[in-house]
Amino acid sequence: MNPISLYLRLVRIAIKARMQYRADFVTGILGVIVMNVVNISLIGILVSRFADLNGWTIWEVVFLYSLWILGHSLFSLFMWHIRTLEDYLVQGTFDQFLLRPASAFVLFIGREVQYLGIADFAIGVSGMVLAYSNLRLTWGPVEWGFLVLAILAGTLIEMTLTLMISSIAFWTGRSRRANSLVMQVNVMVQYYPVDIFGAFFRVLVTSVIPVAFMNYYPALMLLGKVEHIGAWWPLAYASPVVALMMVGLAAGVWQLALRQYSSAGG
Amino acid sequence: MIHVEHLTKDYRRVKRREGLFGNLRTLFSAEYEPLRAVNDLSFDIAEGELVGYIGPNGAGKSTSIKMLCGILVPSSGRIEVNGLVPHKNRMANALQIGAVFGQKTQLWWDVPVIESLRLFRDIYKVPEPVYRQNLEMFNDLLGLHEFRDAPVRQLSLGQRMRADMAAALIHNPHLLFLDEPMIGVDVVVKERLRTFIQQVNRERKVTVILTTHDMVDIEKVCSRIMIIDHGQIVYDGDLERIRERYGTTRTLVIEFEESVPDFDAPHARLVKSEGRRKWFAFNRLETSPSALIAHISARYPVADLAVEEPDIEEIVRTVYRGGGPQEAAR
Ligand SMILES: Nc1ncnc2c1ncn2[C@@H]1O[C@H](COP(=O)(O)OP(=O)(O)O)[C@@H](O)[C@H]1O
Ligand SMILES: [Mg+2]
Repeated sequence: MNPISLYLRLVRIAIKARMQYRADFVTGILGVIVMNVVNISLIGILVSRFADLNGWTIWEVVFLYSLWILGHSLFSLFMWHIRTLEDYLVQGTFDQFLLRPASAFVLFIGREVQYLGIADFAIGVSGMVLAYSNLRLTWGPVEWGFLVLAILAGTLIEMTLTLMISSIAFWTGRSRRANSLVMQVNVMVQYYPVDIFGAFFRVLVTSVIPVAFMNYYPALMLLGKVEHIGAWWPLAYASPVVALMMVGLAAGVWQLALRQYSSAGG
Repeated sequence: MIHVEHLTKDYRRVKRREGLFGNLRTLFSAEYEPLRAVNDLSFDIAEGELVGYIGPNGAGKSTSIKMLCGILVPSSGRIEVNGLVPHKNRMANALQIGAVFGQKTQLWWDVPVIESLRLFRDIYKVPEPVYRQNLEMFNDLLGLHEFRDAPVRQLSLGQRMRADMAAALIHNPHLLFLDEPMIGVDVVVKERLRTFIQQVNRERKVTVILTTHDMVDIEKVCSRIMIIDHGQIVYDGDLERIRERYGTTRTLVIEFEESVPDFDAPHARLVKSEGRRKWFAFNRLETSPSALIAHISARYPVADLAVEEPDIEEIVRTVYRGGGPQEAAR
């Protein structure tokens, strides 16, 4: 089986497995939607109170939020369980991925799906539609194409970042704290335009934890605000490249990590 | 078929740190406590052998089997499985082996067993006729059809083990590694699994390593046993020889005509006394049953007697304790 058809097959099985617990489905989805609506409203209040978010209007902030959550929705649908890698390692259930004549990564990534991502996706699409009409945007094919690329790049960036952080557990046995630390940074980027923060934070989310490429930089391009970052304008187009670099890096870390794997007793 | 030479595996136990940056600090300045799980292990297994691999908990059985599977990378030493180095050719090796780990299932928990089997059929590219033929065999010998449509989480332990056994053999591997496949399984299923393992070994020429704590498994199915302790082989050979070498202790059970006071006989030790019966343990290299009986019957009238062979479990316990010929020689 080639990796892609194997992956699709695994996802089908994972969905089937999830369907066994349909009762959680509705409550889970509703929960996520309510949470996001509350989030957006809070930001809305904040933006309208303090008026000037460095020149970002309320609908532009909604746009940022929606772009982030669209990329994130694919991650949370199909890759959320990367965050639970440490459980697979501690319990030794990771063994099963190394026992087959197939890529351990594909077997792992296809092991679970998380339907809550559907709610994220719905929120993202609604937010994007509202922002698009309220901002009176008129995109051509280039912008639409770039939107799709930016969303996929966002997914890949969050995935590779989570994979690398979670891989710490191959060495130390634990990664949960490091993961939630990164998630805190990530959430800041989701809620606020990066240029309202100080230099340290801006550099952090552009280089070490490049989550600004999930929404902030591509949004500058899509909203026609590229001049916001002056000489740094190429960054507004860089998301796909950053995503590919992250994939390369994560692949290397993963290979190193597999050699470290020490299973669990029993 | 399997060649293992000076194989060593050290685990690194991490001393963890707490706190916000604990993970990262551990990563960069970790203190490790090394733990040698497998220590200079060497053995060879020929094609078609059915080897019982036994040893106390923590002896290093699972660790060595995981290295044979390519799951773990050895710290040093050499492994070859049918010409392949498992951790270097993990996927090629995976094609030629099957493995069951009794402690955890390889199957998808929430979907029917058959779904996992179909997936493995496709991953291993098993031709459809072979797949169907195998399913038929699993139905006959393991009763797979009784539970193939139930999700694994609803299976009893015995059913789960049978399902895992089927999954391990669906692709006709040359080698089968069974790490405690009998754990928590009732007597009837055990018997079934034993017959199955024997049949697979005999008819398909599959080389099998079987880890178990049940000596009946060993006695019934294995032609050779390897005993491992503290990561090292302490015995490797057939069952007969182990009995000869380590099983030198016999027990003479005597029922007297009437109850008699406790006493010791030359080269024998009274180990148990119950009513009119007494149990004397002796080493058959130091004295013979006939000499003992002659001595005892000269003192008290004997009604009945029997000489008990040590059971394999007892012998193995002696080996674990290091009480073997080496110790006797010291
Ligand atoms: N993943 C692991 N990390 C650290 N130590 C381990 C791990 N797995 C096993 N050990 C230790 O290595 C030794 C051998 O374990 P194992 O191979 O599981 O023995 P067995 O299967 O014979 O019971 C034990 O002391 C065990 O605690
Ligand atoms: Mg074990």
